[in-house]
Amino acid sequence: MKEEERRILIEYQYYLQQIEIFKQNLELITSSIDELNRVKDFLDKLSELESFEDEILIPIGANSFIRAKLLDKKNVIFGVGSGVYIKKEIPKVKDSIERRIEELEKVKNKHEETIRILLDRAKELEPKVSEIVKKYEAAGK
Amino acid sequence: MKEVKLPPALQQQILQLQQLQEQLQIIINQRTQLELQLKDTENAIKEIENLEEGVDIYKSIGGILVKTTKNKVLNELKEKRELLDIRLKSLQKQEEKLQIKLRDLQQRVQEGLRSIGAT
Repeated sequence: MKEEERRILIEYQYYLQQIEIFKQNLELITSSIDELNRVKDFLDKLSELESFEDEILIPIGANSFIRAKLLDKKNVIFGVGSGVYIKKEIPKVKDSIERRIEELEKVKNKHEETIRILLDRAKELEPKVSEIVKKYEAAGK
Repeated sequence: MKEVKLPPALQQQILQLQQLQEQLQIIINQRTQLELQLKDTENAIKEIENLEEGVDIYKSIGGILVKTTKNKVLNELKEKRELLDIRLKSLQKQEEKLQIKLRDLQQRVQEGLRSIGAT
């Protein structure tokens, strides 16, 4: 195999690997955004509860729940990183969540852009790669 | 492309080069992890420093959250930041040394390959 052909195949392989890595990261980012949106929805619905006397059910796994009552409808215990949690008012928590979503959306857009660029480069190489593969398949027959 | 038999010394150098590349990748991964931890710790410090006195603060221990105080948690986080900083600087030095070693070896391998007409 010629040096140039080898270089094209390695470059093509590299683009495919990078696309796969970025796609996996994108999935993680999307699921983090979904989770943050779920918490935001939950906090919105929490304020709709009639009173502290409302009974709530806490999931304990395997589709089972325990009955409970809310102690605090105004504050949430919110993770600020490094295993530390603070009591924070719900509107402030929502602001923090929205900021996190915005940051993640930016990273998501950058990832999508990178994937597009990598896909374009891989596509450009595809005709040459097919030619090389055909050539060596024919030689191997 | 013609097949060229590589001399044992050159084969050894190529093997060493691959090992150095693997080592470098491990160090880069560790550095990235440390940088993320450091950023996480700095964010937590910033959030807690802005808190009013008396706000409930909890620390995660295993699966449970334990109540703590602003001062206590700030001291712990600052100590953690210092430790992460020291480890990060040491890793950065290791990475720089490894990069120099790698470049040097890469050059020698390329020269070796050229001298036997393999490139």
